[in-house]
Amino acid sequence: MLFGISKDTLYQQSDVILAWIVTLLAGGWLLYYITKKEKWPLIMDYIQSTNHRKVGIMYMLSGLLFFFRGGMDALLIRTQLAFPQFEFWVIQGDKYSGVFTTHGTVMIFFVAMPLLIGLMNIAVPLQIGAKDLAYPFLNSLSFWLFFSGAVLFNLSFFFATPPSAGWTAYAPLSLDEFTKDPGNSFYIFSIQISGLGTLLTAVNMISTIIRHRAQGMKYTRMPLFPWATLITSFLILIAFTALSSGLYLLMFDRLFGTTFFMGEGGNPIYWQHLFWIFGHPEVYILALPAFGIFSDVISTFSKKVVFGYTVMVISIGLIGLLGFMVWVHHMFTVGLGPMVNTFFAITTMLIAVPTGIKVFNWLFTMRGGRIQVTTPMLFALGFIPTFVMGGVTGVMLAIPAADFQFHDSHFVVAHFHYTIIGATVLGIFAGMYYWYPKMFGKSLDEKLGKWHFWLFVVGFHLTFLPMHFSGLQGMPRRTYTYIAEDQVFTFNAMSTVGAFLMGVGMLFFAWNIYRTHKSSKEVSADPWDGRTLEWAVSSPPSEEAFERPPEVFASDPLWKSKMGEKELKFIKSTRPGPVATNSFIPILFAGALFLFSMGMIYQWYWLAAVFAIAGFGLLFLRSFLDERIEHYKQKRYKPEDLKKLLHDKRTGFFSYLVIDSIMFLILFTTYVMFTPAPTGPKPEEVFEARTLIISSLFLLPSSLTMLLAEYGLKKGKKGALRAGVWLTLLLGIGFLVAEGHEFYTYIHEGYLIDSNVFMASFYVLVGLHYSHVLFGVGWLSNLLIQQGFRSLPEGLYEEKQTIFSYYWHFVDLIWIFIIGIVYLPYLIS
Amino acid sequence: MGIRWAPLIVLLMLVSGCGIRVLDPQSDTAKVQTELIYFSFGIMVLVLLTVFGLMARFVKKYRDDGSSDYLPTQTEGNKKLEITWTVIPILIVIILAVPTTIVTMNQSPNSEAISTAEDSTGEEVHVRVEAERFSWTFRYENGKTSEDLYLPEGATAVLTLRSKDVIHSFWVPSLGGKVDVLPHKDNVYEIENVEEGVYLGKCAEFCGTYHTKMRFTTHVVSEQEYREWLEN
Repeated sequence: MLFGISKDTLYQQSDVILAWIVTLLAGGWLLYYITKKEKWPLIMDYIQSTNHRKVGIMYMLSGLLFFFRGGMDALLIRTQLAFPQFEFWVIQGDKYSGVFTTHGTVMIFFVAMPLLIGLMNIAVPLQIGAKDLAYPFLNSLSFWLFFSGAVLFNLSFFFATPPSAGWTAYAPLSLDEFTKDPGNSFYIFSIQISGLGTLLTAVNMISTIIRHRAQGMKYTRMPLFPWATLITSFLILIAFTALSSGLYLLMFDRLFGTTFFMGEGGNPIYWQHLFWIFGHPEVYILALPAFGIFSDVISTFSKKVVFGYTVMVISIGLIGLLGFMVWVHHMFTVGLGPMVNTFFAITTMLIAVPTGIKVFNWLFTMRGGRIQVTTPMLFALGFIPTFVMGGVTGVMLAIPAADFQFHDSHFVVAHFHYTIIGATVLGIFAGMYYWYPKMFGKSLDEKLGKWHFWLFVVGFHLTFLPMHFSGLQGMPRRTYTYIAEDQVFTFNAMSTVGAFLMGVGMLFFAWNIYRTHKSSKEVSADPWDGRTLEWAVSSPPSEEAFERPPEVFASDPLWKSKMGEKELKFIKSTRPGPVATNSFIPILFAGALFLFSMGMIYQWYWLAAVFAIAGFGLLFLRSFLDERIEHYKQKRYKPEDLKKLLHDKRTGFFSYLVIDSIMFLILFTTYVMFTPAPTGPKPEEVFEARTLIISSLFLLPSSLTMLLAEYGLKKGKKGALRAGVWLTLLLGIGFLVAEGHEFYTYIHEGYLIDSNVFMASFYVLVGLHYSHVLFGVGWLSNLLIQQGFRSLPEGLYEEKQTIFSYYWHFVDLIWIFIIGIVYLPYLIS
Repeated sequence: MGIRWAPLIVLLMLVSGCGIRVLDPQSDTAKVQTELIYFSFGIMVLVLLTVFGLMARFVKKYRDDGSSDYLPTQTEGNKKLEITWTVIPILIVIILAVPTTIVTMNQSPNSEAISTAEDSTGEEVHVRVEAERFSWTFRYENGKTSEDLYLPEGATAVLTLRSKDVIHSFWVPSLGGKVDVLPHKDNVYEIENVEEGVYLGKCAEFCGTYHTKMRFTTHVVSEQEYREWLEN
């Protein structure tokens, strides 16, 4: 080793040992406390619950827990950097890499995301007058997927192998050649699982907002938080899918010997593209909901309607749209050439325009109002200058030649903390103080809240303002020390003091939560004199809050009714709503995925196989325990209601298909980019026309037989339906056999996934399609079994069958693209 | 509100003065970058002052002090104002975009503006930069190699960079911005008219355990000293 540090191993691992001791003690105490206070029934209730408020609370609690974890990492970083050439504890070298990687990953994926999603869960249905999220069961599943991903990630530290390639996991550093221990595999799988949860949440939010708004709640009357949630969810669909696809490829590189991101044939910059196509929109995924919260908070506490509502909505949309056209500004120094750099510089600067519009609209919402400086409002007031400071450095960073200096220095660290803490974290705090009554029926203490605010915000500026200067002084990010000659000591010392101030602020917040729950003071339905619907129901709302939904006549109906303009009426619901249930399946399924991931990470493939099967078993079980079976039997819905229910389901399913399409789009791009490879097998010598024709002869007609089944379903012709379904199933199985034979032949001939990048991109694409067909065959068989054993109630079977046919046609369509893009160009020539 | 941070910024500027490396450029390349930084910072300070000023004014004027409970007029918007704060940012972007484009076209790594061996004017010093975890090797035209970078005063350094393992990034803050050092691909970067001095250089792209220690020194010496050094 070049700079060998010889230290006693025990001391070297003392951070991990301490973490074990503290966690075991705290865990033991927690179990004792729960048992003593007889809280187990309550916990069991939450685990099984699908109610949006309860799921939201679980998101908030786990988000806060990980906030303290990520915050501790931040303090370790700041302590290590307090003095030049300081050696604090063991936090140098790889340990330091582990700490900053964990800090970044945890704060983005397991703090900012769950806290925002938690607030969405709690507030959005209430704000739009929906009974619950569109798919309550899916919501619970999303939470448990997020949670198991987060636990998996945190576990890596307890095994002394945290991920260590930064939260961006740049290849080839993140590949097994350079980071051998399983840390970065933990990164891949934990983010993949929790990302799946986030994607499903986005599907749920989109369906909820599109399909379940109360009567009269037109899009032009929707409060800005649901608006931000809707657009954010669309961003998630695209961005998180790009991340998932990137992680999918990275997994093959790390575990199965492919070389997408390394070596002669591969391309490490491709990972950067995929990561930032996720990463930059992610910034807006974090910021837009916060913007929504601030809009609501500023309007409520200025006692004024939001200034320029329409422009506010348009600018959220524009920010979202532009957010996808700027990712290369993270890569100006990569050497993509002057044209590319210039293009992305201009698009990046343009984002300042809609963002600026929003800032001025907030300011003018306050103008002429009666500003009540409550704690949520205080956070909003802290947000505006802080975020604008992050925004202006953003514009400065958009200039490529200037960015050559700023890039990867502490200047950038300062910039993104100004935007993410300035917008997202302050937004989350504002939202928590604001909606706390809707979570627990209690209000957080205002005085402690102000302590929290001032300590946190002053500490924040003290931490990050000096970083602009240490960056300009030449301090690169992700370095664990500096020398006196670097002349950055003063700045770093200030940052360290500031960080601890923020930490003290957070202790006040924790104390505030504890105190609030100790007190028995209840709070009214409308403690802030609110404007929107959530303040029209009790605090906390009952699970049947909108059994009788309100009739919405304005963007702030509650306010108008309080002003005596028009009474807010609650009417009898005319349409079927989401069906609540209690189920252990979400936590069990997430647990199965967790253990599957452990199997993959340590390459104990038998374990992975067992729990993959267990996961599918749970899905199978779920289809029989579906709460809607009983519900449909009881309700006996009318045909027009059944149609609405199908449309509810379809909205979500089409959103899911967007995810799938983008994933395939990325894999097609991967294939085209890497084929043919410079060395190894060539597509011309691998592909055979015969096998392609046989596979296609099975799969393509199956869409026609599916159409026959749909025709039978629509016209009530049982025979056509049965024939169509069975033929589709048989053709599907035929395809699986034919295509399986093709894979077998290739493997037999020595064309393996690690032969070269062409073979790798072939297998990851066609293999993914194959598993889609396999899943489809399983799904269809399951439907047939369900029909055979206990007939699904009328309406529900039709719904399930229709959704399945969308899936099947989609899978067929992908095959047509595979023929056209993967095979034909090389078979023809 | 936010205005309270302004004195702190000024104070910091005074404390650190011209000592800040990026703001005290020692080559023509870095000078242009610093000018862009100052130019954009100047415009951005105007934006900051506008926002801070408006906010301070509104909060002061309209803060509820409990003396009355009047109901504010519910203003839904104002077309003229909204157009104003749409048009002005667009103008600012245009003003910024012009110098940005010109400099970016010239200075980006692999730009066509970078001189090649063919169109040499004699001012250029071509150096191959090889990065490897966790050290640098500089290879000069006569085949000499060194762990620190040596350049003659006034020269235009044309760097051809490549990594032997993971991605690194070459950065001498006093002389200019970063350029990434990639495996399996050359990047070319140019630093014009370097001034005499000794400058710190660093790896700026995280590359593993001892990324922190992947540093080098750049010595810009007189033409004669450089020749002597090169020949020994």
